[in-house]
This record gives sequence, C-alpha cells and structure tokens, in this order.
Amino acid sequence: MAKYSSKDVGFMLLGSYSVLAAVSSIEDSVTLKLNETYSLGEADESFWSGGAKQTEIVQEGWYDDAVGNLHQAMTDLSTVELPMTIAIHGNAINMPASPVAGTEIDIYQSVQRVGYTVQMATSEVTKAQARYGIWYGKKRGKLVAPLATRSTAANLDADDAKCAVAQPAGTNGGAAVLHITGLTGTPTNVTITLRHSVDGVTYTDKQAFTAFTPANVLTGVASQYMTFTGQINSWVSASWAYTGGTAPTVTFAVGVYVAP
Amino acid sequence: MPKSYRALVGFSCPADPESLKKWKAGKKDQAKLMVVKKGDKVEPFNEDILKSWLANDAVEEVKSNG
Repeated sequence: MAKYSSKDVGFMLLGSYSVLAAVSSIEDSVTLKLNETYSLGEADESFWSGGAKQTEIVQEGWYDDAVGNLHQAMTDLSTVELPMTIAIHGNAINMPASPVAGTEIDIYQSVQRVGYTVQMATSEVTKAQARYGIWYGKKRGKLVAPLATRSTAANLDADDAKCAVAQPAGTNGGAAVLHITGLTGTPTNVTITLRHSVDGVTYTDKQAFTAFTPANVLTGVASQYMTFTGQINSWVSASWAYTGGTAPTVTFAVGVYVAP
Repeated sequence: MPKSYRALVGFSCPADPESLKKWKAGKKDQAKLMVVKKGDKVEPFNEDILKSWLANDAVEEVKSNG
C-alpha cells in the first residue's frame, strides 16, 4: 500500500474530470486474494492464492464543486468505465531532471466509480470520500504531454520544453492514455496523435486516438486508454489537429506505458 | 539526380540544414518545421536528415522503372 501527499500530485484525471482536490489524501491499495483450502477435520487452516489481485483507490478530502471536478464526476456514480491517470511527480516532463528518464505517472486502464460519501458541504467546497474500483490494475507510465491548454494545431516535439522521454524504448507494444478536459471554439472534433522518434529529430505518427467532440468533454468521457503493438521509441510526443471550429483550443494530457 | 522518397507514415522534422543545426543545439523554437503526410514524396535536404528519416522508418525510396 502506498500513500501520496496531494501537494506532490500534478493532476488526477478521471476521463475528462479533474478529480484532484484542494486538500486530500489518495490511498492506493492492492490486495492479493487468498482462498481457504482446508477441509473438515484438518487441524490448521490453509490458504491458496490464484494470483488474482484487487486494486482500489480511496480519495478523501475537500473538493471544489465547479463543473468538471470531482463532485460532478461522482454524484450520480455513473457506470461508465473511464481511464484514470495520476501525475504523482507533478505536471511537468522529465522530472526529476537528472537522470532524464521521464516523469512517472500512474495509469489505470479502466476505473469504475463505486462509492461517494459526502460528509459536509459549504458554499463552494464539499468534504467527501470517493471510492474507485480498478480493473486490470495499475501501470507505471511516463508523462508525454502535461495537462495544458493548446491552441493552433501543432506538434509538441517542435519545442524542447514540451517533448517527453519515455525510457526505455520497447518492441512489445504498450498503451497510451489521453484525457481531454477542455475543448473550446466549437470544433467538430479534435484528434490527438501519439508520435515517437529514435533520435529526437524526426518524429513519426505512431497511432491516433479516437476523435473527440465538445459534447464528449461535457459528458466527461473524452478520454481513451489506447493499446498499440510493435515498436515504441525512446522519444515520445503528441500532436493535435481540429476539424472545423473558430480559433479552437484544447486542454489535454497524454501518458504512455511501454510494455516490458 | 537526387533520389526521391515516399513517406510511409506522417512525420515532422527540421525543414532545412540551418533548422537542423538549431534543433540539435536545443533551439527548437528557432527552427522551421517540415510536416509531411503519409504518402507524400519528399527529397532530403542533406545526408543527416535522410539518416534520421531512415532510422525512424519514415520513408522508403521511390524506385523508377527507367
């Protein structure tokens, strides 16, 4: 079991929701399930493990009740499963700066909202406990695109300060996670593409995420855990492009997990 | 006659030798970027950028029948 202080967390995203509270604790626990194997007449209890693990996250603290935050995400306990990403080392790439190995993040492929207990509420904040059921466990990934608002369609790798490193490279595929928390300017949709490079000079498109609409963001589902196969290179980045819209902007974060 | 290449995937890279120098010096904000779509024909501006394209499996040589 590990506990992290909220001050160290850059973001905590569930689908399109920002569920990081102003003051909170985040408890992440993994339990190995044991089954009894002793039978009637045996003197001592014995147990057997099939290897199945149960992962849960419990988050407790003070939450803003603004649109797109935890209170909206949890109040009706939607049964829609969403990916969750926690930037445990902050919302900046290449942290720590030395050795450069990419900013670690926790990626949860499929999260179910299973409990929400409101303890008290003031005018704009709510004290509550949120509980998440986790499918497929947790993967330790790297931050590719910090959560930030971008305007004109572009490539993150055109700027050193925004280009991520995911080390080591892999040949067994992996997964990338996308969270879009804002989409303005009424574009028909926005497409984010995962890109990579062996040398940090030429970046090729690896795989595009599903295109998302402003309505997807409003309903909290503009996010995707996208698996990919084959080679993923050390330098990993992202690009974004809109269909239609007037001076559109998009707020998103991307992470990558390289399979061992 | 310079060889011609076709983009196997969409890719981007520095647009000219000067931009490549700036890119490698960590001055990406001063470098011009070249964005190529999958299937586009491209000609490398020097050997270094061709090596980078090939290392990233970004292009294949266009063979002529003549």
